[in-house]
Amino acid sequence: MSEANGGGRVVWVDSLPADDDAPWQDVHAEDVLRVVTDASSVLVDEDTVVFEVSSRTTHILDPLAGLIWRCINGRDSLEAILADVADAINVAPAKLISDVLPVASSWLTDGLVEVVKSE
Amino acid sequence: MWPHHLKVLIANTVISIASDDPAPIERLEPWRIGEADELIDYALRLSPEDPEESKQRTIPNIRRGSDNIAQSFDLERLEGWLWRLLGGFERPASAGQVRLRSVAAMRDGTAILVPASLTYGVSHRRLDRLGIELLPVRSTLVDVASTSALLDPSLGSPEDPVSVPIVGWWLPSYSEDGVIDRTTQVADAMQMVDDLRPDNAQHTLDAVADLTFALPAELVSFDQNELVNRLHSSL
Repeated sequence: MSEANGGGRVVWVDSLPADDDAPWQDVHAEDVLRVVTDASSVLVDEDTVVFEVSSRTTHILDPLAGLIWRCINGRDSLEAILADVADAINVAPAKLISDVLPVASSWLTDGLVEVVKSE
Repeated sequence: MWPHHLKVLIANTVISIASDDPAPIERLEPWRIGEADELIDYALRLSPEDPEESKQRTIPNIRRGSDNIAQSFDLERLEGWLWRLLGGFERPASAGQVRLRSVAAMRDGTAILVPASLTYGVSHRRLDRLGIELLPVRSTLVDVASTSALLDPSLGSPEDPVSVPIVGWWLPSYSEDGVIDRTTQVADAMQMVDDLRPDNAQHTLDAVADLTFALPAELVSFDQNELVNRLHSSL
């Protein structure tokens, strides 16, 4: 879901948001992701608000997306991160990976993250 | 522990307030919605008891949770601060404004915004001697277009906020003072935004970003002595 608001844009990231104009980029489970330096985040109640300074775009991540967002560190693969998260929330890793890869791909497409290592 | 307390509703915020004196609580009766919760949000201690073995007087104070956010032997001033603090709940930020968890330090009609948490326990007597007024409120409303602090009047007051030009705004630094890039300013300031919600995030963070363009933030250390000296030299 997205809505125009003033000069910026709000994107709720609980399904499959992405910049309509940007070519879709797939993230793979083995990828190591890094948050771009232009994106800052803050926890607001259960949601995570991510703000891109240059584009003035606000992304609202739901609690699970926000948890994964905060785990992205430029060192661990998404697969390793999701294995830990799956263990913590007691879901099957394969199920979590299939749910999260499209969301992570939307972050890549929207320029919120970059792939620093792809295996 | 507190002999006098109540729970009030101010705009959309429910707040538990307590005091060792009945009078301030009685004055808040028009906003009462019930008994205070076990966890008190704000407490006004006007007659602190000193430990018998201590030779140091405890200064009357306002506490927010476990933080001593303001202290003064001037009880009227102390209660006045509490009412201005509570008045802030009546005015959420609108478009082009942002509420930062900062307090306004003022002299000669201009203000510097200082992270509220860095001012807890600061000596108002020392600030008074330097001619600096510091309003120990929860947060300060900033109008970005005019680069001004809109100082909240007391709770229930019909007066409009007083606009004071901001000549600086400081962010807490974990390292040495210096100039920080805009992205870091926004990132740090995001952590200090009061009442940030998903439904107001866009205009609020736009205002934060605009503020960094209008007036770049500076870093300030946690050393309170240094903080006061810097206010003295900057205002």
